[in-house]
Amino acid sequence: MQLNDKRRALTAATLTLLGGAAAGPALAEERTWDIDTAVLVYSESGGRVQAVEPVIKGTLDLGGERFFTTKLIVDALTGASPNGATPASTPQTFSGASGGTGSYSTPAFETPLDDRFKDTRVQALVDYQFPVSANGKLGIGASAGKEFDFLSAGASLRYSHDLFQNNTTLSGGLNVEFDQIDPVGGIPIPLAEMQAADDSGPEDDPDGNGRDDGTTDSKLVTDAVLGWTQVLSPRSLMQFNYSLSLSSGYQTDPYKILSVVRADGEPVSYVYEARPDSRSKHALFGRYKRLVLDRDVVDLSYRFMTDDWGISSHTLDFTYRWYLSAHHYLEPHLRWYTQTAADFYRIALFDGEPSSIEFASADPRLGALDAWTAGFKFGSGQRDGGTWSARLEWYQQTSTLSGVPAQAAQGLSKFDLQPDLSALMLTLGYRFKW
Amino acid sequence: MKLPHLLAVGLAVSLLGGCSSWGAKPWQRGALARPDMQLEADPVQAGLEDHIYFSKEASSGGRGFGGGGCGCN
Repeated sequence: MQLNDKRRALTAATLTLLGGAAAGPALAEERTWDIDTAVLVYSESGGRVQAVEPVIKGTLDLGGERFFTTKLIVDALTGASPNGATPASTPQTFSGASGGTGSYSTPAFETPLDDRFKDTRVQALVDYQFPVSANGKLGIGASAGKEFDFLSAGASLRYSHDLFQNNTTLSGGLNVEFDQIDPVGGIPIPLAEMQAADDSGPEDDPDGNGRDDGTTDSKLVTDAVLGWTQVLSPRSLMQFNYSLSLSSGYQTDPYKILSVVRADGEPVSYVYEARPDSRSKHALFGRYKRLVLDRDVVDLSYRFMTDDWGISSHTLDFTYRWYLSAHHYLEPHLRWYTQTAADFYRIALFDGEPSSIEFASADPRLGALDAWTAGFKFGSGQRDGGTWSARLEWYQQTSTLSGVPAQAAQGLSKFDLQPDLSALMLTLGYRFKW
Repeated sequence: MKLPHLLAVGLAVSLLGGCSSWGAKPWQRGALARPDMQLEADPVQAGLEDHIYFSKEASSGGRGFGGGGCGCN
């Protein structure tokens, strides 16, 4: 009873917020929320990143094809992440982002991992969709996100239009996001040497650790999507999307470094990475979905992406929802991904090189790699309308060696420069009406 | 009109014609109305998936708006 009262109050408040004055309390009582919840547990092997990410999303059907949606995501991360440096024959010590106080060490021949990686992200979204004509729908949304060193705010607008008895849908969308980053110790000076803090530095870096003390930076990301969805038959449909993403501003990872090595592959120093301040990405996406055996659902999709950093990628994704009974299904999933390296991706820099180049990054995510995801999902629909699902997946990423400085190739060959990454992912989901 | 232009117009007309002849009549939409036949049958799960791959790979976007809203360091 108390729960129902709260629900009515929340529903009424939402309607008031949306200016739905016409929908009085009597109407509000009939409205129900569609609540969609999930929690993801992500665990990388070898003590690397561990994450727990709960999500709750509520959709309120306001009638007349008007929907209000709100979503809250919390993402708690711990564990170790590669800092970009190469292994060495002797133990290495890194001064860390917060100057002399945050140093950490890596044993000989091991990939340097920054194990002080700990963060909690909170993100909230609201969205309102409503019809603007017999066949046209408009959606407006806003989002905000916060991490300890990161703040983002975004707004989106999208329009979709149904044609040919709803067999064809054309859509367009625009999303603008502003991100501000406030890294521990300030923004690193591009390709400057990372050092322990002392009092020897220049004016903008009094403690001499290679960071511009106390500074923040920002970037603006604009995404545009054009979509075409086509019903092919009473049992099949396809979707094509073209998307463009333009990003300008600070895109460097302020905690990633590169080793500067001699011909024998051993480091003489470490420098902060530097990435270009603009990036344009183009993506083409196609999906085919079909009901088979009058029971199961096949979903096959492909994406091609290319950008002006020199990265291009292919993604293939396949799921088959196999109904074991009217209310239970098993859904195997396979995903394959491959990407080429960014033009400025370097596993390490050769001694003296940092002063002659503009951009360099050893972030494994910008290197050439292949990845497989394999797993399955088990789901059930309940009589009361609630549905639950559990999905277990395994992710394996294998790097292809690239960006090795020729003068140190022989010296570096004794190290495992790009160890594979594997992770287990468990997603539990529950949907119900409220 | 030159041949390539004619071919282009012909292709456009046949594609548009295709749009109107493909599809399902309103009384044939039982299967298409199923929740599991929606383009994004599980949007919350798709969002989590996009976030993982955005954090571990250099690509984003495609099925909707790109990743973002996170520093993903």
